[in-house]
Order: sequence, then C-alpha cells, then structure tokens
Amino acid sequence: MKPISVFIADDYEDPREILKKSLIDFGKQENLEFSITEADTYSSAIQVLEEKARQKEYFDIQFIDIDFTGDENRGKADSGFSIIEKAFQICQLSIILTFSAQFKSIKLHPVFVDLVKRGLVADAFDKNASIDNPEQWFEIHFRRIIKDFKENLFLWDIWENNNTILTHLKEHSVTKDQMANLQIFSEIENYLDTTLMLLMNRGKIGAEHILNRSLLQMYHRALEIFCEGDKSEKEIREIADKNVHAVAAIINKNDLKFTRDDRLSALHKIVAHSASPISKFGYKVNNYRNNAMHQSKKFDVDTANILFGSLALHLYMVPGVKPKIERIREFYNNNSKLSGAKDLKELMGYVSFQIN
Amino acid sequence: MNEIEEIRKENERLKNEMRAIGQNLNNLLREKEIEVQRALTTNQNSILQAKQTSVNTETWTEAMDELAHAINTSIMVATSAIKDLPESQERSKAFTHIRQIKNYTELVLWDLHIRKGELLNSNAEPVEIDLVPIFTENITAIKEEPSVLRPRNKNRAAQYSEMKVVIDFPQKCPIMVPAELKNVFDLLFLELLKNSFINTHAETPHVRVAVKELPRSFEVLFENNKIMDEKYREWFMGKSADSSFDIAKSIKVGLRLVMRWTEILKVTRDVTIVTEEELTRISLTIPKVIQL
Repeated sequence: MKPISVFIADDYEDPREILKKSLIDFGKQENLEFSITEADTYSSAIQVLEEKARQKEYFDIQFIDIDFTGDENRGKADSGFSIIEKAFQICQLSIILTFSAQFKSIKLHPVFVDLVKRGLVADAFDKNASIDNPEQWFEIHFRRIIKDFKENLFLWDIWENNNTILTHLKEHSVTKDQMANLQIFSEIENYLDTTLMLLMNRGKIGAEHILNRSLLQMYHRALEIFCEGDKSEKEIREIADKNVHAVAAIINKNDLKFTRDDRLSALHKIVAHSASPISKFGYKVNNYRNNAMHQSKKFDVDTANILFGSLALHLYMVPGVKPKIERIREFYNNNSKLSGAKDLKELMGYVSFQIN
Repeated sequence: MNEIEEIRKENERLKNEMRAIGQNLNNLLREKEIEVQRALTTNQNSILQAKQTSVNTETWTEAMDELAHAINTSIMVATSAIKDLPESQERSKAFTHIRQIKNYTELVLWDLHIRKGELLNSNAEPVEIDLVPIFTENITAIKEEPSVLRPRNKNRAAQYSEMKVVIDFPQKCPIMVPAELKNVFDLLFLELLKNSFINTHAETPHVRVAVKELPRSFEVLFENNKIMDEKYREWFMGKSADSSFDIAKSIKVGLRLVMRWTEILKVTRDVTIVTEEELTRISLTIPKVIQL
C-alpha cells in the first residue's frame, strides 16, 4: 500500500508534534506508512491545499485545528472552518477530521455540527479526550478512521472517473442544442455528485438495500439521458431496431426484445446509442435496474453492481478512454463473493484488455 | 347684619378649606410625581442592571470558552508528555488529576451552555448508562489514588486506601441520559464519594453506598459516619446561601457542582442525619429517563 498522505493544520507546534508521533507509532503497529504535510498558519494551510490541487495530489486524511488565533497574521478563532470548506471544495473524498481543543464552544459548536451534517467533517479528534484513555485514545479512534479509509479506497477511482466524465462532457456536447446540452450536463453532474456523496456516507445511512437501489437508479438514469441525447423518439426506434440484432449477438441473447407496449424504454435508448461491444455493459445496467425495481425478481443490488454501473457510465460517456480501476480491483479482490462480482470482473477485464 | 356676618365667616371658612384641599392636592401630586420619578429610575436601573448582567454573562461565557481552549490544549500536551514516562504510581496519579481538571472544565462549560439555552446537540438520541460501574470504578479510583481526597498525611491516605466501602446495589442500574451528558454522573458520584470518604470518623471510618430501584427512578445513598453541620446541610439543600461552615474547598467546589447539576438533571437530593449512630445520609433520586 502506498503511503497515506496526511495533512495537519494547527497553529501550535506541540499538538502537531504529538499527532505526528502518534501517527508514526500507529504506522509501526499497523504496518502503514504516512507522508505528513504540515501548516502552522491559516494562509499557509490554504496555500498547501491549493498547491496540492494544482499538482492533482490530494490528501487522504486531514487533521484541521479550528482556532488559529495563535497565527498572528490572519488567524481567527474559526479559521479552521474556512480551511475545511476549502479542503472539501478541492476534494470531497479526503477524510477531514477536526483537531481542536474547544470545538464544543458555544460559538463554534453549531458550525461544527452543520459541517458534520453536510458531510464535510468525518469526525472530531478532541484534544482533551486524550486524558480519558492516555495509552490508546489515538489508536482506538484512528483505527476506525483507517478502517473507513481502506473500505472506501475504491471511491477514489470513482471520483477520478467522474471528473474525467465531466471534463469530457464539457468538451464534447451530447446534443446540438446548447440549452438541452446544459440541462443534460447538469443532470448527469448532479447524479455523479449525489451517488459519490451517498457512497461516501453509506455506513451512516443504513438501509443498504434501498440505498443501493437508489444509486443504481441514478446511474441508470444518467446513462439513459446520455444515450437519448437529442434523438427524437422516431430516430431512437429506428436506430434501435437496426442495432438490436448486433446487440443481441454481443450479449448472446437471440431473443432480445423491447417492451411490447408502445412506451419508449431505456433499453431502446441504450441500444440506439451503440451496437459496439460496450452495449453489453449498458444492457446489463438496464437489466440490473429492471430486476431491482421489480420486487418479485428478488434481486439485491450490491456494491459490485454499483461499481459496475459507475464504470459502464464511463465507457459510454468517455469512449476509448480507460477508466481508473486499480482501487476498484482491490475492492473486487476483497469482495469477490458478492453476487455482482462476476460481472464487475468481466467489465474490468474489458477495460484492461480492450481499451488501449 | 348678623346673617351677613355669618355668611362672610362661612365664606371665609370655605375659602380656607378649599385652600387647604388645594394645598393637599398639590402635595399629593408632588408625592405622586416623586413616586413616579422614583419608579422610573428604579425601572431604568433594573433594565440597566439586567443589561449589565447579560453582558457580564456573555463575557464570562466567552472567557470560559477561551479558558477551556487553553486548558484543553494543555491537557493534551501534558498527557502526551506524561505518557512517555515509564509506568509508575506518580504517572498514574498525574493522569487522575489531569482527568479531574478536564471533568471540572467540562461540567462548568456544559452548565454555561445550558444557562444560555444552548445544550450541545440537543437533538441527539439519549444513551443508556449503567450507574453500577460508575460507583465501582470511582471507589476503586479513590482507593488507588487517595491523593484526590487531599489527605492531611500519609496515615490518612493509607486509611482511605484501606477503607472498606459497604456496597449494596442491584446488578444493573440503567438510566437514559442525553448523549452529551453521559459522563456527568461519573463526576457527581466522585464528588459525593469524596465527601463521604473525607467526612468519616478518624478512627472508625465508615462509608456505605446503596442503590434502591423504584418504579421510575433509582434512589442512591451515600452514607458516612460524621454528622453534617447544620449550616452545611442547609446550604447543600439550597435553603441557605451561607457557606461559612468549615469544609475543605475542594469538597465545597465539588458539592457546588453536585447542587447545580442535580437541579439541571431534575435529580432530587436529600440529607438525613441519624444522630444516635452519628451517620449522615445523602440521597439522590435519579429518574430512569433524564430529560432536560
């Protein structure tokens, strides 16, 4: 495992040193390596974050003090909150922890609670809590953070893939009509943000089955509106009818049919978009979604299905570009028994061997 | 002629009477004016006083927040420095006392938050705590670290360590409290236990702790064998503000917190004196569900 990058922003040296020592000791115990960056003022903290963002390097974990009044230049009693906002704006995936001596103060606590509610702050490392369990307070608390970090590593691939998708869509219009294009872009952007946010917080939400269904529904909807583009219903039907045999051959399902009623289905749109090998994955996403929506099918959407949906979206929206799958593969290796794991493996195989 | 004279006299008398009534009226008016003026001044003063009190509370709250910030940072630095020392009795004593500083700071801060109507995270779900381990852990902590009782000498310290505390409570005494206040009984029991340990007979010290389960509450009893001074009792029961009785400051500050927090938590406190046995019994009736 590559070193875990940690950022410590605190205007007082002793707590920074204590934290660094605690991290190093923890690393020795758990066989982990940390690369630590420090900032001792409000402005240097912002500068470090901006500089790293320019280099497309992001901190895995950040410890941010709240009170920067020890920084005689621009530090205020709540400067840490601005640093947290900046850190989150740069990268939603970084685990942000407050490292404060008084986050419960009357003025600061409501802001802290709001940041937690909005998902910006993952947890509080309360400086005075060390005395409750001097020998292990850091270890016990930080072990939970590392567990979450490891379990969520695959989200970094999704985040990078989402960024690639959005950059590509900004440069390549889906429709000729600018307004319609903007609408589609905003909707897709919204789905990508929401799915990522929900995945990041899935441990806190509970109701895993319902959450996974909703996530899949969002990926499916993003795929559907993308495939539809600015094609008219008539065009979609015509192209879909033309493509259906090719797609049937790809998915090895000779009896592939559209719904019997007159309704234009998502499958029409997916098949009309492409009859290339990736249509196999679009078809699968549609199939998952149909099964998930019909209670009688007893289909439980799992995280492998969600990752499949996310990668399929990338294949459609950024054609010919390999999505990031390194950390998703790690997830697969640890969760190969999930019911959706086989399909995910096949899709990752396609990414590895069919896209240059 | 006489008649005219009589009418003149009557007229004069009436004039005088009217003058007197007028004078009285003027006096009355002046008095009322003074009263109104006085009332206005009093009202203005009380508004000013209320404003001043509110400013003072605000300033005090801010000062406490700032103080807590400094204390909490120092707690972390001190804890970390002491942690690096080899294990010893002194090391563990230092931890105990630092923990006490943290607890006092938190209790005072929570109190300020509550006074301002800003209880932390008031929407948080209540949590269940068991009173039994709070007793046992605190008794052990006092016996292991009798220095928290500020003993006069080593003999007294040894006596505290060896004291056999009679305990009588059910296996489990669960209560529900707001999550933010889950540690509050830890400190309240510690303070009451300290009071019981210290106020014991020098040669035959006796401390008993008992818990009785009632339908909607637990009755917690702290018993020690030294009769509580009348002034002390009146003060502890909130019936008098006179705190001129002689008890250690460390105990007084702890009991002030107990008094304040039992009110906040709606816990009833009582003191019973059993003169013939020289016993003092402080009891708390703790509701099974604490709502603020």
